[in-house]
Amino acid sequence: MRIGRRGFLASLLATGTMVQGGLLRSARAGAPMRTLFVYVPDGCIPALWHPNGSETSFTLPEMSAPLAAVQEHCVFLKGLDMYSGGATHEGGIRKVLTGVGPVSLDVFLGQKLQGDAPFASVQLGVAANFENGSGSMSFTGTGQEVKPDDNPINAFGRMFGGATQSDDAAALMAKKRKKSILDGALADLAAIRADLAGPEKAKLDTNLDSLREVEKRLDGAVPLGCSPSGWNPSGFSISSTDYYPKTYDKEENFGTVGRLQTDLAVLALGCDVTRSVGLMWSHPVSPTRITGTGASLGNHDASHFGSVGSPAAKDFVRLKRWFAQRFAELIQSLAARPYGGSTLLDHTLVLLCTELGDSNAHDHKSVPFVLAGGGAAGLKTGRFLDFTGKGSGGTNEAHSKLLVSIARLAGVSIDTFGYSGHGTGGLAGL
Amino acid sequence: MLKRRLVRSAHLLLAFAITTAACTGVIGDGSSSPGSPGEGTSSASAPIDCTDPDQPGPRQLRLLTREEYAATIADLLAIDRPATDDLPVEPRVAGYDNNAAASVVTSRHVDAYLAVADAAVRTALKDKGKWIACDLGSAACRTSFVEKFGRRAFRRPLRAEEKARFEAMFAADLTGGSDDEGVAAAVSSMLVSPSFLYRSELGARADDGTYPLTAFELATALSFTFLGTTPDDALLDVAASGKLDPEATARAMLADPRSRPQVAKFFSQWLDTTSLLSTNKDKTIYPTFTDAVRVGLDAELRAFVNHVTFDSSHGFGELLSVDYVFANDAVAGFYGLPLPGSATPQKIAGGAERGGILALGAVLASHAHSNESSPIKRGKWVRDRLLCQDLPPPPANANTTPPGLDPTLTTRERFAKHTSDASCRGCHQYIDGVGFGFERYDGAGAHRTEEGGRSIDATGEIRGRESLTNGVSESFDGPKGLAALLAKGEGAPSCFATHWFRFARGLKEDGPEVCAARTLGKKFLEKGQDIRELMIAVVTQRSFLVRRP
Repeated sequence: MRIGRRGFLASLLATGTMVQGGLLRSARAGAPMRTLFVYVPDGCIPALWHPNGSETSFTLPEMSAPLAAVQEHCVFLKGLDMYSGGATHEGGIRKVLTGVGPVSLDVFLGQKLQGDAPFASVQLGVAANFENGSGSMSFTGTGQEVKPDDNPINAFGRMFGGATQSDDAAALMAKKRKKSILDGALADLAAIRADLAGPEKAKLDTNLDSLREVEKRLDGAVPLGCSPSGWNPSGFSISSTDYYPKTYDKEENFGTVGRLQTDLAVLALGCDVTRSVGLMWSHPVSPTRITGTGASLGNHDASHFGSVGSPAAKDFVRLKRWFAQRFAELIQSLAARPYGGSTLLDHTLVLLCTELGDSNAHDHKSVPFVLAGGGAAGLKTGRFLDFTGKGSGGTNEAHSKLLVSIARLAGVSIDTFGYSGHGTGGLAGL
Repeated sequence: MLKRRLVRSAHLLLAFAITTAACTGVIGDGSSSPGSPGEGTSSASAPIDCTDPDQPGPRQLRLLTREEYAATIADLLAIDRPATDDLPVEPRVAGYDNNAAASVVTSRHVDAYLAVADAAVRTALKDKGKWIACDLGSAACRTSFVEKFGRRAFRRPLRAEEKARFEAMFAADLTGGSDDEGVAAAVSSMLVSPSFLYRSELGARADDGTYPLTAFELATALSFTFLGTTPDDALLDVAASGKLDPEATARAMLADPRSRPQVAKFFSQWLDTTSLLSTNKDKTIYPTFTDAVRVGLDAELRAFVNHVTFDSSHGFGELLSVDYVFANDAVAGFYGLPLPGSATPQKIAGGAERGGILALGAVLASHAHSNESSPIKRGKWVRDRLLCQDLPPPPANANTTPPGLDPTLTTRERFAKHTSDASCRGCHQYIDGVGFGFERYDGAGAHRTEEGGRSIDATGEIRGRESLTNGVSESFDGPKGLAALLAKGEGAPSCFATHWFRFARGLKEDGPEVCAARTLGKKFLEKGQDIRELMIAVVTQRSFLVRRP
């Protein structure tokens, strides 16, 4: 059962009641898994990122140390290479969630897991489009890039601030009008599509899915029992006079926008607005400088660290630690939100990813992945798994198997996702 | 130990072989960088048979870019261009924002289209006399409005069922009797429909099985290509009359002042300066690179290419080698030239160091780091944008770390060390020598004679200018020296024609389109490298006019 968002919020405000997310959804069959893909730019310094120790007893070096706070919720992965496809930043971002196939896992699983959720998947960015000449991580089923939304106010509005829904006649008429607007577009689409085949038809199929999703949302987006109140407590707003960069792309707002997008990701998953979210912090070859970290270089300039201990390496450590702290906060936030008898984190598979392994070498070896949450799907966390040399012929294992594992944990049964040169199936032991 | 060293050398040799092959194998065969969305992914495609040099092109649906969308809505509703910040940015393919294969409508697009259309219509309703000719209270007016506005929006006459569909939007059970709500609904529905959002280049099936573009599709393609917006009623009338002449129409459009910003947009995407206004520069290193300078450099680029294309010789050579610049006071000050006393670009003497696209501040600042120049970016820019010699990205195992900032060495000296590595030379022999010729310009594009107290060496070397594998190496001094070399050959003008082909056609050439682009290049050379004739020629090609099944 869904009711109009504003109508519901208004009734809550009127009665002074606020219902905790999740309480009223127990009627829904099971508790579906969600996925959240978090991208941070430009690889790592392997020696300072990957844990030292055994599967269950290990320590985190400098770069990943802030993750110690949520270590019990994480599986640290080493020895996963991204095979095939293009090289360097551009090749890495193209395949990190696709395994060189057309579609990215956030989009693919979003469609599979959607159920009653109004959005198949949501892509959020933190200055992810600003000066981005290297691409984004999300792709449609036919391989077109899906750009993340860098504007948290717009993203929030789409999900939580849509058309007024209530039982009054004017609102019902407005809804009916919007439906006929969309029906007109759907009829037009059907007429063009009938004459087409191949890629142009596929393009219209994507368009069709998009129109249908928007039409479905007319029946109400936010499920009963969920409130977005409290989001954006500092009242961040977009200045219409910010021509370049836009307010949300300004360096001084990077942390604020990141916090808003992180909170929004948690809200969207917790309120069942969508079951798959992509969150991109900046983008490959990131020019971002982050105030308060002590680093003076931009992320990409720092990522060319030369040697461990160089001034650039020190800056890169500062920046990676900052991103690791943000990821830890995200995990804590998911863990603090009750859901389905346990926590939202338990019902969410969170992947931390990037487009390179060793940023100095611009390679795709031993990419620093961290998989978190997923307890409800049986993922055992608090572990460090090293797949170095565990792939076929003593090579490193393929990261596309991690993508398969995530899909399987989410309840979507697949054998391969993109690259299959290292065999089928998921990661052994995950 | 010895064994390990041998293995290491073998790796280096292998890397050298791979990179050399990669840097000589893909050139000019029309293949694209691996894995880029919207592009082909085969790097070893079969040789292309150009026996038929101008075959029918692909049937395409071309999603309006945000700029085209905004310009179109402004024209339809007689309002200012609506803000489109919340529409997803276009994926760029080969530098262009209008690639037909790369753009699709996601649900975020639909949300934004609905929001923009609704706001735009409500703005336009405040002055409805400008776009609604009669009183919508009458059924006859609604019918004529839907018919006339629908033809503008869909760029073709509406079919009977479409007219009925949009007229039904005025029904009282949808509007409560409000004509404003009715027109808002009808227009919003049109503006979120595929017939509006995509420029159709599907054609209509002919007896021979091909799909010639319809007259309305032609009118649409011409208007968007040359004017950047939707066709007006007069042009649609010509299309309806069956008398649309693409060549004559293109020529007339290039005489319309609205073509100037559109042509400038092409140049900006070709030269890859579109991020000039937003690119980060270290303010402590480049304090004179102010917002006024950025805006002025962008204006200079646009004024210069418009001058060459429309007001001066129309010749490609003039883009390369001239002794003037179009500078306002901010730019002249930044360049160290006498101030023209104007906030708008004025044609003034460029002196020894400025003049031509290679010495534009917009180009030099766009192809550099935030804190230093970049011989690599600039060299690669010449190869990609001016010579269409697409070099592959570094191999997966290459160490692509630039040399650290060493105050005792110039940028050139630091990079020279890095490219002495055999595994890098495979490709970098084609890049760095070219880029070193730009070293008299810093990371913001300002002129300099020394770096950290050491004098600048801006002599450059270009290998394989006309063909990467021809073994010819030429030396030059600074951008002007390089421009003189480029002006001598056919490589640069042919490449320019290919870039216009990509922009005008909304595709990165592959298969038969490689032949069509080459054919266009030959025509450009035959026509004395006249830029306007090139721009017109693309719409006379069979590849454009007719589409294959």
